[in-house]
Amino acid sequence: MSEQPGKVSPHDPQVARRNVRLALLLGGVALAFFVAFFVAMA
Amino acid sequence: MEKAKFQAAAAALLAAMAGVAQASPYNLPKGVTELTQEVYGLHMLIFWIVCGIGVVVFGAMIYSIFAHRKSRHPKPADFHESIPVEIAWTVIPFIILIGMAIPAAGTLIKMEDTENSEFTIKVTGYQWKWQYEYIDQDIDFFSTLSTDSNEARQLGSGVDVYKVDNYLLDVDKPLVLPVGAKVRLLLTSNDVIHAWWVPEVTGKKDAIPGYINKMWIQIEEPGVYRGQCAELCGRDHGFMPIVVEALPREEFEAWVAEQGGRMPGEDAGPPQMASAARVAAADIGVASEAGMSDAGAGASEPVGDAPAADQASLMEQGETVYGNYCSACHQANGQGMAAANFPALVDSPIVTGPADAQIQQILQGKGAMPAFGYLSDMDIASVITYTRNSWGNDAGVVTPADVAAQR
Amino acid sequence: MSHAATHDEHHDHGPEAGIMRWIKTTNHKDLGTLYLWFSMIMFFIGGLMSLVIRAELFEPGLQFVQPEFFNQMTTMHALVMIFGGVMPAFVGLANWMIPMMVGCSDLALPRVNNWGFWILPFAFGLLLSTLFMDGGAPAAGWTMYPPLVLQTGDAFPFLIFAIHLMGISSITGAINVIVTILNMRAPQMTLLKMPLFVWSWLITAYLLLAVMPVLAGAVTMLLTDKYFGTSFFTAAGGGDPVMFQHIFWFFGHPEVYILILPAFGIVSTIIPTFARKRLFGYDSMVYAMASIAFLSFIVWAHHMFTVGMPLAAELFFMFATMLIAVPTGVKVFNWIATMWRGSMTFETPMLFALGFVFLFTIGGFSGLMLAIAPVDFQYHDSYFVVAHFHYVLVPGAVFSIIAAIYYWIPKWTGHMYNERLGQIHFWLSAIFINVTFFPQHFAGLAGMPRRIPDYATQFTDWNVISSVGAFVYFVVQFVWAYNMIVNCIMKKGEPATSRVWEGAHGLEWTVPSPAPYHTFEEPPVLDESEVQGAHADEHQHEVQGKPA
Repeated sequence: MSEQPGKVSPHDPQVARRNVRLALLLGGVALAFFVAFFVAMA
Repeated sequence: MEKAKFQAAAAALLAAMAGVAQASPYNLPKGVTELTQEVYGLHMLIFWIVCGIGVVVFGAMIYSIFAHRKSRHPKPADFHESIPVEIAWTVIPFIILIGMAIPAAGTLIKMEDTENSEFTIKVTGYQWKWQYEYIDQDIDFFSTLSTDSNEARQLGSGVDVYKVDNYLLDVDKPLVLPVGAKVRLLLTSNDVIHAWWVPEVTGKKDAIPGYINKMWIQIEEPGVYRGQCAELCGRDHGFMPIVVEALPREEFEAWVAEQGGRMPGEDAGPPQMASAARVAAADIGVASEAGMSDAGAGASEPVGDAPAADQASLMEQGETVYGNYCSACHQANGQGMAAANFPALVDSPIVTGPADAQIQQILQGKGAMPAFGYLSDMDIASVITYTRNSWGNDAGVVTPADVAAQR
Repeated sequence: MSHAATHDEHHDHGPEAGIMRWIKTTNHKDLGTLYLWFSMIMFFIGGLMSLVIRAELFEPGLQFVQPEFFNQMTTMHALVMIFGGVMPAFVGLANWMIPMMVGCSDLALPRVNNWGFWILPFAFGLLLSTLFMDGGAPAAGWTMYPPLVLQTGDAFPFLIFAIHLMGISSITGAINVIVTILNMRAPQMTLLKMPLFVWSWLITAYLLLAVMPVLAGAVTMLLTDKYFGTSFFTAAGGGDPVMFQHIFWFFGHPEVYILILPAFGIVSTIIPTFARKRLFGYDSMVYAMASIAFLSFIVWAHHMFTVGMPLAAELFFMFATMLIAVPTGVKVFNWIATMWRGSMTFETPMLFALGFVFLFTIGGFSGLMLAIAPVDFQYHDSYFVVAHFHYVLVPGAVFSIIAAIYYWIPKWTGHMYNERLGQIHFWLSAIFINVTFFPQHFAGLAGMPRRIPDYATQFTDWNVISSVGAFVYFVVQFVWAYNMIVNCIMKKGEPATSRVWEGAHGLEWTVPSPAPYHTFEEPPVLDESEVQGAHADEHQHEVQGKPA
């Protein structure tokens, strides 16, 4: 709740790495929904 | 200002309630069955609850807008949370909701109870008409938009629709039911999803291919009740009305007898009965006044597979069939509608070529054109003969036997 | 603005010149602008389609279009308005405001942001091109129910592909919002100090992430049913047409809240500003939005009470749906409590926000009526439903978007709109939106089904009124476009101060107007007076807006 990144530019390499990690995780979840759903229906 | 509109609307609804109960232009009809009347009661109950909440909420807002504007209330207060208040306006609505849910659940349970029905009718949706099969009485017919409405509703028809009786809500042959009997309806579809809805008789239920949905109705007052398909089912979704005629029991029995009396006992499948039913309906004057004039012409026609299929009678019957099933797309003048991809029949290679191909296409359908295999051999032969000898086409006669050979 | 030296590599401090600026841009403000322009164009295109509908329905009989084209218009109107109008508008607002509200220099994934936007023109190019194809545009309704939708002609694969593209765009946008909010907040900007608009978007983004893949799956199954011989949804092949409806509405109901939660956020931002009083019940507003989001996943079948579900399912979905009224009510009550004993003025953004609260509540009332399953059998697929969802979408979602633009455009362009024109725009919009949609309640109750191109004569009066309202409402929107374009964008209006509104609080008001191309390159120090929520006084005492 109180995590304070402190750096706020996406161009900062450290921030960018964290961002990409989280984005890939979320994107992976979305893709997994799609695949799981399709497999369940088929 | 919105508030004023809201009150005007409430007043309008109130006025409607006090006025005639049926077919109000403002409100749900009370209807003629126990269930529709109960639903009407629920509807009004919820409506008044909602109005009450509206008065409180909008009243508070309007008072605040008036009294707490900067010119009257220059110094804003500094409160911004209150747990007890939040709890109160969570719990009170919850209690109101429970008060609404209990009667609603009761009505719902009653609606789903289709036990102990007197007899069963199977209702099948087609693009764009309804089929009614009285399982127990062995009666079966199609119900389509009346010819008058169908002509008037064409783009640029030039017909004044106000002069058409029951414009768009009239059929060639209504569903006839006895007053006071609990009738079970089984709903299904032959193509896409439709929904059967006659507000004064029942709420709607979907007719879905591969599914059989159940509902029951018990009409308490004789009369004619009108509704229409309520689920988007393609181009002519707006043009497949439903008409229910509730008759006193003796008259209903007479109607059934008429229908049954004309039934050919032999190999007569449903389609032949459809023709027979149409004839009988004309005889006893059940069918709608406007819609019957054309269909009634069929009364003098040979019914079923009668051999007297000469070209003149085929042409005459074919014109009626064409009007009911074909002209919506291919148009009365056979020119089709290029813009909508409905081909012209004039000089069409299929219509002027070998008859077998045309018979097959009508039996099986093709692309956007639905299959018409449920029509009788006579109907199909007549409509093919009609298309082959109209609008300058000259491609010979097709007999019911030709059609039968292709099935 | 003088910290460029510390960022030696990435970017200079101004936009590129010419058209390439807009194609290559990764700047959240540029992309926000692009999204908003795109959305405005789509609103006008979708509006024109609705005028075709209303013109044909002006009187009974067919006067202008064939039924098939009418069905194409209803279908395309919905798709364009939902996916091209409302959603991109909210994404545009998120682009502009979220970084400025949480105090970071850009969205977390600027390039993804660029792709996410530039997918959209192609998606809608494909979709709109179907209007010129053999067989015309999709005509089976935006709900795309099989088997009907499988009768679509050449347009079918274009429809499916366009929806896939819109889905990808939405998912990338949602990921960007979530990552930005979770990773990039300024120091001291704890989650419960965020402006409610940011909260509403965080919840919306999770909803998008959860349901857009489901929609993509459903339309893909339609595609394989049509072209690859599967029968997921065709009864003849052992499939189940009702299953599609379950899947569609499992997407579709959360989608409804995707279209309204950001509106809640906007209204929760605007009302405190013009009431000069902090938002009442900040925490309960957040919890209410979270509850609505959760409930939205378990109520989908109320869109399909008439398909013939088992009694137990009908009861469950009826009760769950009614339950949504509780958190929604809490939000309305909180807004009123915020106004209560405030010191209100009624500039255009406030008028639209108040119009939202009134008219959205009416939509909520009809929603509650629709939730009652046995009565829904009468309301379902009638014009009552059309009236209901237009009340929540037009004076709901669309009014909130208009309010947000009036509210923030001085910050974006540095110039004020014309207040008089704004007031005229509000009153005419508010009157004619009711003229358009209120009569549809009556038409529906009297028995008029939706999606019909022609109707029985007893419905004429309501339809005449409704059509007149629709045409005037459409024309009135040009007053707004003129006001925005001439006074704000072309800078003919008064220059705006950086605070713009007397009662405004939030980090976005601490930067100059117009907001510089890059803001918060270095994290700002969060002054507690800029915090909207109740949590401001955890640190500080005197935060109240100083009345003039």
